[in-house]
Amino acid sequence: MKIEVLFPELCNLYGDMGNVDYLKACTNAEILYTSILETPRFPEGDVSLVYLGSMTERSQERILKKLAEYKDCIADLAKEKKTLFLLTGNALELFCGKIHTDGGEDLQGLGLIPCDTHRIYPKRVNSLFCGKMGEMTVVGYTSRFSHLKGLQKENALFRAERGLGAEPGCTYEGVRLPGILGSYLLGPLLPMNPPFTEFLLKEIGVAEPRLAFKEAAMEAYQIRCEQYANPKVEL
Amino acid sequence: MMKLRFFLALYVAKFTAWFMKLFRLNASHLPGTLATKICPDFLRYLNKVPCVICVTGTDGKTTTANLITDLLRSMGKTVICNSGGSNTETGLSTAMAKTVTLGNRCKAEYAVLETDEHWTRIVVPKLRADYLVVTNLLRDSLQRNAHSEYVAWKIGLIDSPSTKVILNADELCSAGLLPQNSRVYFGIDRLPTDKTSGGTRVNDFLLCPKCGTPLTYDYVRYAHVGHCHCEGCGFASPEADYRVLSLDPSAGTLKASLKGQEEDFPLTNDTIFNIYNELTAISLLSEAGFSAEEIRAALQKTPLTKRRYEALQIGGKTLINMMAKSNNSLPVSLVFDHIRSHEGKKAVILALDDLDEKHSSERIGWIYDTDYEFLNNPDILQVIAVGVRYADHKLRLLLAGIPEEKLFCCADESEGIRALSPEADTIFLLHDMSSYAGSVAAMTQIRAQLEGKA
Repeated sequence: MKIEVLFPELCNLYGDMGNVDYLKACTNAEILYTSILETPRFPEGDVSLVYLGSMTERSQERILKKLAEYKDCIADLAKEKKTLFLLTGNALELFCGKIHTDGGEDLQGLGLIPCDTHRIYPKRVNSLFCGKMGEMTVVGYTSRFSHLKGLQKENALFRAERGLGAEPGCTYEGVRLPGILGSYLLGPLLPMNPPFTEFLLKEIGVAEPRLAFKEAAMEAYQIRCEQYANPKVEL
Repeated sequence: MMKLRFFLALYVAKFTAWFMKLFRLNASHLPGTLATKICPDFLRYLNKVPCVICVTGTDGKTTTANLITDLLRSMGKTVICNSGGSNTETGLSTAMAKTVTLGNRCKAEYAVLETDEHWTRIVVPKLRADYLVVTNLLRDSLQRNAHSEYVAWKIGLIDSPSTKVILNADELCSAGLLPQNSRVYFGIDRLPTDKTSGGTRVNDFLLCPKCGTPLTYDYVRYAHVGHCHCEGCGFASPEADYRVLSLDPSAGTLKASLKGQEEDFPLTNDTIFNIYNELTAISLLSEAGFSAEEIRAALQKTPLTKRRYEALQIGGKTLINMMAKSNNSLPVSLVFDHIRSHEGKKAVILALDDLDEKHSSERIGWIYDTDYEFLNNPDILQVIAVGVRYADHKLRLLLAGIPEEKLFCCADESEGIRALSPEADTIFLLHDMSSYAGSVAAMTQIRAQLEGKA
């Protein structure tokens, strides 16, 4: 199994490599790191998971230019579920329609997620998050300069129970489409949510997922779920 | 009308400060808050102190500002500072209200002001700062500071053409700030401990800002701090005007070049962060017109604060209490690096909870930017993680490859301390700035344990 980490020199802002560490520990996958100057591996069709983490706003432009040449390939791989694209933090914005900037030039995204991004930079929003995917509790936090606009509920990944969703007032968060999972949630998402990691592993074809350091991960997860569900804990 | 408002604001600020002092209340904010409400341009109307120095940056601004203040005072100068107080506009207004009489006559020679990065664009022009010192721009609190590009953008909005900037040549996120202002650079020449690649998990300056190709690091000491160049377009780290040439920790001295002139100075502390802090202070004072001799004499009288590093010998063991600013991956990585290179068998107690977040929950993503892998060392016999976030630290330690049998993790600090291995020669207790008071209690318990009294 191959897992490709795209542009780690630019997309590693908020402990995002913790997601890769946890995936590495949970699988025997070969982890491929592709720099912004290299040719991505996923077009060869043998990569099970492509991971893209958070980046600065200036880097979004550069990375969009790079990914634009692979847009059709990404669309095909995702649709046929040959490769799962996992996007955390503001990485998911690159797969949306437009990134509307306030007073600046709009960026054209890949258009693979049917919604747009509105930047509120330099204003920043921060929120803890506690939500559900089915019956599974998911916890994390968001810290960002933008919101998603127009995300449809049927394309959402999580239901928000506490905290900020895709945009203020929205009761869902993240994106779930064939071959694409994206969330603004930081944590890092995977070590912080072992049940979600288990789900993800199944999605990429691991028949019997084995969570690394399961006892330790679940203990931390349960403490956090309890804490975040407490209305006295400020978001 | 504005002048009337200013004087009203000044009187209110002074009276409030006096009143709060009378009742032994902390007056770091309120006087300035009231002053700026009455007169939003309060700082601008104050009669200017002859030399105003603002110190900002991610790490080291408190230590550097305090060091500059101490050095100036030991040279007999009257200095107003905001040490122990707030570094925002209201805090600076509180401090600066002390620099003038009721008639707005200036009574201080120097103002040394630790300034929050977000507030520099507002206060530096109002203060008519003579110098702006930027220690570095590194990863910091996610919620406030996002990433260093954002903070650099904010500082870049400062409109104060007469302010001279003093910048870190070894730290490229800040080295390019305010290109329109006159500037000097400080830096540390290559050290024996420097590497040419790798180092820490985090490096925020891997690509050339001009042409985008990977930079070649001539040497790197942590993160992206070091010296680099681009083989594509010739971009390189700036040349430093003030350089540390070499260190002699055993003699307690450093050799520096001050615009080409070699001088020796006392080495107040041999950790890399503190060497930078000392060099920054030397650079600033030299620019402000002080001779090397004057700076040297002042340094000899001024030790660094003990609070960040305290070592005790008890019962044949060494107990070291170190402050490690949590929510901040690089300082903690460097502390871990220091620990692994310390000789002998060691045990480490991590008490890194951010106690300032009383009603919320700490964002622990920073621990995945931190090099916990440095603690995976055969001479580190035991790692004890205590506090509310113990379970997160445990998972991170396991992912760093540290065998579970070396770990003891629990919420209760006392319980963690009781589990200390007797095999360790040196015990490191790491705490966050917010938990310093707790560290005093922890040290007492460890001490009693080592003396056989617990």
